[in-house]
Amino acid sequence: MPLDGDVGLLLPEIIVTLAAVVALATGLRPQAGRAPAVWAFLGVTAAALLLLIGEGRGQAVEIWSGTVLVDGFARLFKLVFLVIAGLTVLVAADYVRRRGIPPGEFYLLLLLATVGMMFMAGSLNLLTIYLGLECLSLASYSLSGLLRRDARSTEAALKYILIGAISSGTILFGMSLVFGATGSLHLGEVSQAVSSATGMTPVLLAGMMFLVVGLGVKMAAVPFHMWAPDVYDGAPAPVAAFLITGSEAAAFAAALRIFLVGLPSLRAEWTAVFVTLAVITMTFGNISAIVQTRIRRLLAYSAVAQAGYVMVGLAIASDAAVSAMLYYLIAYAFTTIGAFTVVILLARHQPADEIQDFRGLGQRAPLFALALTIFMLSFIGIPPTAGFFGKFYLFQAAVGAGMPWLAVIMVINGIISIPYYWGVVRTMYLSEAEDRSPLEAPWGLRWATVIGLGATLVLGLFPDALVRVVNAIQVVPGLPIAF
Amino acid sequence: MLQAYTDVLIFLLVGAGFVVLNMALGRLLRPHNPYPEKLTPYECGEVPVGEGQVPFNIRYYIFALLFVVFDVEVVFLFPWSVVLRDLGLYAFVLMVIFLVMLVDGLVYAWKKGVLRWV
Repeated sequence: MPLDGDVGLLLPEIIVTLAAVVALATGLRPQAGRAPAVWAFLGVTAAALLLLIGEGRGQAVEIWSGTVLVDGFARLFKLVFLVIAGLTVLVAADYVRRRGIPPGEFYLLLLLATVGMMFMAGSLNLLTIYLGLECLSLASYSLSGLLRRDARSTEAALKYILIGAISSGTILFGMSLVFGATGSLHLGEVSQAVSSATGMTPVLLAGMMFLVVGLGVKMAAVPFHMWAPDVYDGAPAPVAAFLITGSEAAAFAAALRIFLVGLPSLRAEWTAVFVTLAVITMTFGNISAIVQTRIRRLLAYSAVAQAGYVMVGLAIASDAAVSAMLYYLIAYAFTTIGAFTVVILLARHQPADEIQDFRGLGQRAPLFALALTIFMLSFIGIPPTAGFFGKFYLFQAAVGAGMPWLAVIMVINGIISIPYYWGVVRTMYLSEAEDRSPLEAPWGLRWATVIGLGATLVLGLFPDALVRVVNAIQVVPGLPIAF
Repeated sequence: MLQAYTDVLIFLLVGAGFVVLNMALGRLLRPHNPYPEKLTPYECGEVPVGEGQVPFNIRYYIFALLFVVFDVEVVFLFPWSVVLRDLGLYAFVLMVIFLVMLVDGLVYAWKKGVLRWV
């Protein structure tokens, strides 16, 4: 009987999948009401709790012939994905009902995308990583097109699926080249094969480049970012928040595993590529964001720039850099979802596409305006917010790795980014609104803002607790090769 | 590891060879007797009207999509049914879970009126 403890290690994924199926089924009734959202939220919460208190903490176990790995790294990322999914459900509950999105489909796709991300972080096998990526991608293409009568949403879905399909193909091609050069799909064995081989084969190098490009598309790194502004602007707002935070974090998780575990011998090569990409990405993202007049395009280009900062950590890839990356991704997730919550709140009452629409928000919704201000401070990286420590640890890692010039470029980029973030804050407080009626917020949006705000401030004031957690994370699991 | 794929290669070659061989045999054995009526769309003598390439209803697409899902499902069901006796209850339960998920989707599509021809 193959039924053993192995299944227990995948219980979080199983619970989320079941919740997705139940959410779809409850969405069938004509008066579905809150049921699908509640089921989705319960599933995500149960899975997250299970990860926190469940069995097998503090050990690395590889199951199912080395196709699935459960270790601290996977567990932390899964927890992050679940928190992102949970916050997205909170934000989306009201949005989905108001915009007439079929709730069953929305929560099914959202949870399946989450499961895909969980498998991307939880495996050393290239095929499993690819399957996770496809599960995430296919769900997110559909999610971006769920506003069926909205031209921007349809355009976003079409662009995303076309570019996403090419990037999937690129990744798969890269994986097949790596397999051809090393004879294994398991990253541990790939690493052994590469280090024992004499010299570096061109095939392996080509495979590495294909992987960099394919994952670069998912991270929205310049010059592979062309889809990002359109998708983040056109997709339903909660979906955009989910993709910016979750999809990007999953791509970084997969990249960390692939390059640090599988291809450490090619470190000099991929470091050079990632440093270049990181510098281009953050600079281009920040400069493009300055000229944006639409709030979600601004947040989209800001997401591109943030991806550049995170990529600095991937380029350096020291222990300190990886910890800084994890810290940054977590801090950034809370901040981004928080910022999107305020955008969604305003969009309930009036068109809120342009930055100008935020006029007078300081008077109409003081709490939310204050929250957005703090989120913007966190994006810039000003204490006492989470974003400050995220950037600070990345600077530290860059200097520690003997690349102080990289830290200088990051600081310059931070300064470039101040005007456009601050422009939003200025509009909120210094411009008068025509309609001064106070905004009322449904409880989901209120809670999502409070959680985002709380996490941004707590991580900014007391970073030590999370730093201890991320410092203990090993990207390369210390376990014997399974077969 | 790579040697294990020799079997796959041989399998592919035999598969392709089988098709080529039969086509070639047919070509050698059959009588060669072409005449224009053989090339008409309806050999029963019906005269075709209009173009063959016309826009057809988009509603077929959703049926095709549902068909593909169950087409792929069968690919999983065949090997499963062959070894079910050896794998026992565990495999049975797993497949039931898989089928329930597919049926969940089908029921959803059905209830949404996708299967109704409007």
